[in-house]
Amino acid sequence: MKLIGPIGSVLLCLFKVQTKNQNLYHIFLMVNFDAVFFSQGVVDMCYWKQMVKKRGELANTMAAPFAIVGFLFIYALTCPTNYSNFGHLFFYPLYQDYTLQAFYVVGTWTWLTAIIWSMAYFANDKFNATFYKYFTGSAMYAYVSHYFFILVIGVFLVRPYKIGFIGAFFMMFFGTFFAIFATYIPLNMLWELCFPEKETKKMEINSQEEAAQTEEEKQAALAAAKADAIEKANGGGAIDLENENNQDKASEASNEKPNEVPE
Amino acid sequence: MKKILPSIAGKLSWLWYLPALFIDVMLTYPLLRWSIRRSKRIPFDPLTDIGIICHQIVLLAIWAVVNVTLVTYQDYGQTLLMPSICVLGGVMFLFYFF
Repeated sequence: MKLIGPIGSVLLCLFKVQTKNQNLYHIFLMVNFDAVFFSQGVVDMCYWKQMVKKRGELANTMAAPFAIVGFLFIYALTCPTNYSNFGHLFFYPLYQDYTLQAFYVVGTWTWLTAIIWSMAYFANDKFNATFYKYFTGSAMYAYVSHYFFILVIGVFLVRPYKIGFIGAFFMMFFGTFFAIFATYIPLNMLWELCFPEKETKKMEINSQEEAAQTEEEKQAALAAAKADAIEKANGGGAIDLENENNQDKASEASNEKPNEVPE
Repeated sequence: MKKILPSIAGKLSWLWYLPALFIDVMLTYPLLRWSIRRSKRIPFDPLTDIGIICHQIVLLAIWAVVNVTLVTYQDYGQTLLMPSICVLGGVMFLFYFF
């Protein structure tokens, strides 16, 4: 199932020609490429746990070293090192030649997969609640608005004052970040005034994590049942903690199954 | 309006990704709904699930008509975009039934 999207993308390259002044054609074809990426993403997210489980099983076999070598091989093969057959910079895939287009597309899938799997494993946490709220919350806003701020800084600061490359780079890079957050934070505050922030729950995407949590929950349920059994065996009175073990043995509470509640 | 519409794709410049994102979300919505239902093991409901498939087919058909109608240069709409939509449809077909 993981190969359907990449194979579809490689097939789509058959219908890509680098023609000038046909932006609509390039955009529409790119929408089709993106729809394939979206489709694979939708299916991968819906079956994430099953896929993680399967990957975990494969990681304990000989497939693991071959997967690493295979990744490096595909990386070497798809690395964009040629200086010819370029197409339009803004329209995916960027090359003219079919083979180069196919390599470019396979490279995209490889890196997307590697980044998503790694980030899900290492970075799927809040770490810092405030930073998380603004950094992840502003992602879409930054995506949509960044070029506007780049243009504003370029038109009103860099060009009129003829700032050199290094100065312009720093001004553009940090200035855009600053402008994005300087506008996002007040907008977010305004938004939260109208629609208060809701409690969110972390999505469990790691089957081992889920299994560990289930084990913790089982332990908690066992402990609760044990405490309940001890309390009831004691007639609801106070428990002498110093003699708890003796009482426990006397009540046979530890030997009872958690689901059985003593009468 | 008639003067602006044919060249709007060129005028959109870097903003092209906004309508493109919207179209992609629209195109993949039925697949998302289908995948969520299947991954949660919701039993196949003929009315809902066949409706989802019909929704997907109608969306792809509308998208194909838009492609063929708007991209007329050297018949790119019919010779390049139409087959690419068939590939997209094939990819979605595989995701629906496997």
